[in-house]
Amino acid sequence: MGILIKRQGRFQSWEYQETMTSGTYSEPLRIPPFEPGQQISVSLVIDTGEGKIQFTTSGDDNIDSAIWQDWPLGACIETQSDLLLSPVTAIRLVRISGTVTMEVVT
Amino acid sequence: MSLWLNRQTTDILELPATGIKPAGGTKAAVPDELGIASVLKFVNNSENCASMAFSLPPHCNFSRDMNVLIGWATASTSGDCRWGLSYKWAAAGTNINSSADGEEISLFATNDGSYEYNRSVFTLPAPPNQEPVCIIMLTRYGNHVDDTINDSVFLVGVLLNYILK
Repeated sequence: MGILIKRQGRFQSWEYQETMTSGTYSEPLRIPPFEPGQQISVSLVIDTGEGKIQFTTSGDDNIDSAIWQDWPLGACIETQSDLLLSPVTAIRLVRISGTVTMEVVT
Repeated sequence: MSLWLNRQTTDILELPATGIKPAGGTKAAVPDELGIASVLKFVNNSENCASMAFSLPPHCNFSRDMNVLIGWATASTSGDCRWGLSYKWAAAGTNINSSADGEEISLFATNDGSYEYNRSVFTLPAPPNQEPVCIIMLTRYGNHVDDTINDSVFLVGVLLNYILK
């Protein structure tokens, strides 16, 4: 499972970046509870090809058999960003083709 | 409720069978009627085609895949229909007297029952250069081994479902 990395700064802040050039699914990136109102930005960077982000609300113990849903932007061929409004258990990057990157910052 | 800020909004362009042109020559699907519906008939044991063009509005998100939904029915109570979809994206200046973009998209669609309205979906790749016109050729391969409907198939209409910016 992917792990968020602590960012430098005054406030508790975290970041994550993963690029896929092969395979279909990244490891799930667990999204832990944050401070009230602390928002989570998720970007899908399309270098070449096509990809999408998925999220799950299945419990941590069921992450291996989690039910994954596409983010609202679906499969994208251009770089896109979105903002998580509510808690999720984890997100993951889905590489449909080419080279795609998921970036998360909070 | 969406857990994300962005909400995906979609829109639909619709062409009834009366707005769809049968292809020329021996492959042409032919106009027919079912109840009050004007339809195009794709016969069995043959390869029949029809073509159409959609002009997408500027507020379409051209960087996203789209869906082509076809509504069809048949007298047969069961079986699968083998459809194929060829497409070409065009803008002003595009030479349209040329081959289709990409490979034909195949679809093996299950028939739900006698004269039931079946809706089947093709995923159409986004236009590579944001061309606003989509020309489509829909083919029923009634002579294909996997087309197990031993009867004519009637096309009621075609919808193009796209995402808004």
